[in-house]
Formats: sequence, structure tokens, C-alpha cells
Amino acid sequence: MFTTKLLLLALGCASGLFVGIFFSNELKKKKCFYEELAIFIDEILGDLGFRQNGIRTVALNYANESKSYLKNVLEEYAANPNVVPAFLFLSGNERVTVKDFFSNLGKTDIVTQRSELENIKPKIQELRNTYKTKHEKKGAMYIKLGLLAGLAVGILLL
Amino acid sequence: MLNKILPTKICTVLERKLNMERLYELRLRADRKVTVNYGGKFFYLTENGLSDNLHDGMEIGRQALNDIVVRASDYSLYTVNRNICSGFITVSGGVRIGIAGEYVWEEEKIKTIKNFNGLTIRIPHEIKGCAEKLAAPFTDGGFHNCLIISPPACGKTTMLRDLCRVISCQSPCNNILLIDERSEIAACSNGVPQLDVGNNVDIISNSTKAVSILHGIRSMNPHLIITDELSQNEDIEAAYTAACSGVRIIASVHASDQYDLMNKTNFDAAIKRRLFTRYAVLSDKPFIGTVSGIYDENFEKIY
Repeated sequence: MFTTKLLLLALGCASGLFVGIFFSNELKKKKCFYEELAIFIDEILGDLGFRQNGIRTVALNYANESKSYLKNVLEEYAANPNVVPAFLFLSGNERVTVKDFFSNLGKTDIVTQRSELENIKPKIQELRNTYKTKHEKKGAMYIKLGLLAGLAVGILLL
Repeated sequence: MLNKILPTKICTVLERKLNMERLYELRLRADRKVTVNYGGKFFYLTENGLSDNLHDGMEIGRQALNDIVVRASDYSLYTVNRNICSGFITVSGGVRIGIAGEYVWEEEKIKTIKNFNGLTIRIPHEIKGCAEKLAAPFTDGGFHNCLIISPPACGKTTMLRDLCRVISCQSPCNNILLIDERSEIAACSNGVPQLDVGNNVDIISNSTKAVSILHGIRSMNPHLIITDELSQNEDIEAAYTAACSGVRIIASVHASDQYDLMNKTNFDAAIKRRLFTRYAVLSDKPFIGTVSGIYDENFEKIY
């Protein structure tokens, strides 16, 4: 009986911890996504200025280095640049901003393309900074809250 | 390659209804009917093939033209901006897309072309052996400086390509520098020629003739330079540079015949100084690539 109660408590804590980690990780993933997207924009700007290999080449090369959601996005985009990825992990204005970015890639002359990239770069950097701050402030808090909530549920079940 | 850049409905008709070996050119005009040069004649492209009737023709929209150019640039328009400013882009396989639209100028330079309203897609064909009749007079007693005179769409590029191949195969001693300014002759993709120009050939592509000839002579030590249209004064000066360096040159020029060439003022000096010792005139009668005549430096017919 005591063992069962202990198990229930442990399960409650684990579940709460899991939920807390999940929400914390979501913030971290978005932070990583925007970090890498900002670097990807710099890679394209570099390509514009030097080798001009083309966006598909830049996307494929960067996809190999990417560790975030961006990896799948770039692989999908490189396979079919005509189709803008869905970005289901984003919502609202963020999704619109990122979709617009990808739908305009490669469709304009060099000067206009550079101008578009220079315009969107601060927005992406701002989103990166926002999620970085959120993750720093709230990431640990979600984990602690999750653990506490799990503990509370476990105690209630006792 | 065409099926990667053209709209599906056009590709379907081309693949199912036409013999691609006889397709030389596609003309796409915004919100107007598509025409094709098929076997040397122009027709309207229809869902069932070809027609002489305007009303049967397939129409293409403005956005579709833009999409074609974007696809032709492999979704990176900026990589071909320099070529677009020259009025064309070349895609894999030597397909050349001429672009008509609104030019955007900035500080007296062409910045880009926008609002495309017409595309002319020229499809290259390798016709091995078509240059055999030119090779002998162009190389008898050693290489000559030769000029191929041709109106548009008479097989000039096809002839140059095969000439390069034939001369290259004549001897391992024949080191040829091919200056492929628009990547139409050898159609290099990632440095690899997609069309057969022979073995002993070094290719400089996507560069002006003046720069290519200067660099090529210094670095590649050619015996013969083959290049396409001489049009600007700089091109003719570059040909002089080659000749004065002991390197022979075979080039082409847009003109209907030798008399038309003589009316081109920028060729006056070249003709008077006998820069070229062989002239060949091409025509499309009775068929594309017909050699009407081969002439010496005095325009006396020799073949």
C-alpha cells in the first residue's frame, strides 16, 4: 500500500516534470529556430555577395548543420522551392512573417533580394531575442511548476 | 530540362504531340498565343499539336512567364541577374531564354528587367557532321581566321559547335579555346560541357570575348579560338588581339550575306585589312544550316 502510494507520487512528479520540460523545450526550440534562421539569412546574404550558388544550395548546405526545426524546413524547401512549408509549429504573425520570407526567396533581382533580406533580418533577430528571454525567464520556471504540480497531484491522490 | 521550367500543359503537348528533334524555338508572349518554330516553320501551339489558326492557339498568362524565369534560374533569380540584364538566361543543356520586358535603369546601368512580356526559348540541337563541309576550307594549309555569316536562326551556333568538335578531332595537336559567352555552344553545367565540342577544347563561359580572349591566350596557349557572334567594336578588337598573337579565330556574325556584312561599318577595317581569310554564308534555304558559299578574303567564292 505504501509502495503504491509512493509510486503514484513518483508518477505524479514525473508527469508534472515531463509537462514542464515539454513547455520549456518548446520555448528553446523556437529560440533555436530563430537563431538558425537569422544565420541562414546571413548565409544567403553571403551567397548574394560572393559565390551566388543559389538558394537551394545554400539551404541544403545549411540544413546539414542545422539542429532545430529549420533543418526539416530547409530540406523540404530545397526539394521543392515552389511550395512554401506549412510552419505548423509557429502561430499567428510569426507564421505569416516566416512564410512570407520563404515565399519571396529567389524571386527578385539581387538588389531587391538583398533589400528584402536586410528588412526581415531585424524581425527575425527580434523574435530570436524574444524567445531567448522567454526561455531564460520561464524555462526553468515551467520545469519547477511542472514538478510542483505533479507533486501536488501525487499528494492529492494519496 | 524543358519539363522543369515550362508549365505542365505546354510540356504535355510538346511531349505527346511533337517530335522534340524538330522543335527549335518556343515563343511565349504574355496573355497571347504560344508559337513554336517546328522544322523551320512557325505554328501556333494547341492542345492537339500545331495549327496555323490563331484561334486554336494555347494562351499563356503573365504570371506564367515570371514563373518560367524563376524556375529557369533554379529559384534564385539573383544568380542570373547579370544575364537577365543582357536580355537572356541560359539553362542546363544550352537552352537559351531571351527575355523581353521593362528595363530598370539605375545610374545609366541596367539594374534588371521586370514585367516580362515575352520569352523566346531556343532549343539547341547537336547535328554531328553538319560542319564537315566547312572544316576543310577553314583548315586547309593551316588554320584560317574565319567568319561565319548568318541571319538569325540559320544554325550558326549548331555549326560552330560541330566545327569545334570536328577540328578538335582532326589532331591531338589542335588546341582549341572555345569562348562560350552565353553558354550556348558547349552549355557547360558546373564546368562540364553538356554538348559535344570535342576533346582538345578548353572552354571559357559566361565572360565577355575581350576578357576571355586576353586571359585565354595568356593562360591556355590555344592554336585556335572559336567564339560566337562578333557584334560590338570590343569583340572585333578582341579578334584582332588574337590574330596579332598568332592565334587564329573562328567567329560568327549576324548578317544576311556577305554584302550585308560589308554594310556593317564596324567591320569595315576588318574587311579592308583582311583580318578574315575565309567567310562562310549560312542560309535556311532549302533548310536550316545550308552553306550558301565559302569565300576568301576578297569575297571570291572558293566552294
